[in-house]
Amino acid sequence: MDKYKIKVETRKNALSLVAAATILIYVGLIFYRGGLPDLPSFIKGFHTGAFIGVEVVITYFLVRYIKASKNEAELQKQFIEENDERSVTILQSAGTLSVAIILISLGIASVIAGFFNPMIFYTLLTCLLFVLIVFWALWMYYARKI
Amino acid sequence: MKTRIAELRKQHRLSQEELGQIVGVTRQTITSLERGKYTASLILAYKISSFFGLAIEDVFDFSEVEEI
Repeated sequence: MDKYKIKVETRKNALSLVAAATILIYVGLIFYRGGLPDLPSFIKGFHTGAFIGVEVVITYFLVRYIKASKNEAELQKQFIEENDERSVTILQSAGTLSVAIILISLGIASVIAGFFNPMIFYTLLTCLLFVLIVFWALWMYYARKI
Repeated sequence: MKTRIAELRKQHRLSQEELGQIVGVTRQTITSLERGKYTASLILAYKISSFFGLAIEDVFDFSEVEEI
């Protein structure tokens, strides 16, 4: 449990840094908005939502880790939740199937988009290649590691 | 996979939550193991069997495991 305690402390510090950096970047972008291209309001809203979303998620995890570092029972509960082998199996199964579905869907969508719009075709093709490369790289990494 | 976890747990007057805490898994995992929906890893099977003071094959039923 001591190792996990150290892990929690490291995560707390890392998340605090990310939260502070996110706020700084967002504030910087607001002040620099004049130098950026004029964006549609939907995209501006999306950007704001994304930044708020990141902060909310970080705050949620920070509160969890602060609670865990102050309470041994909570720390053990979180350790069990995080290392529960059934949860890991569920995550692995869902992840494997998700990648297969994403690859097949992107492939089909790329073929269909190719008939209508070259820009969308190249965008989807790039996404497909990106997912394939990430999948292949991780496959190779784990094939050597395990 | 069929197991004797529920029977042994009740003999020891433990809740699923308590047994989960002892062997380091969630209550849901114990539920799944008892219902035969999830097959434990070798390490978890060892932890559970050791806790009850039994051999793995005395807790987990391997009779339905297909042989190659």
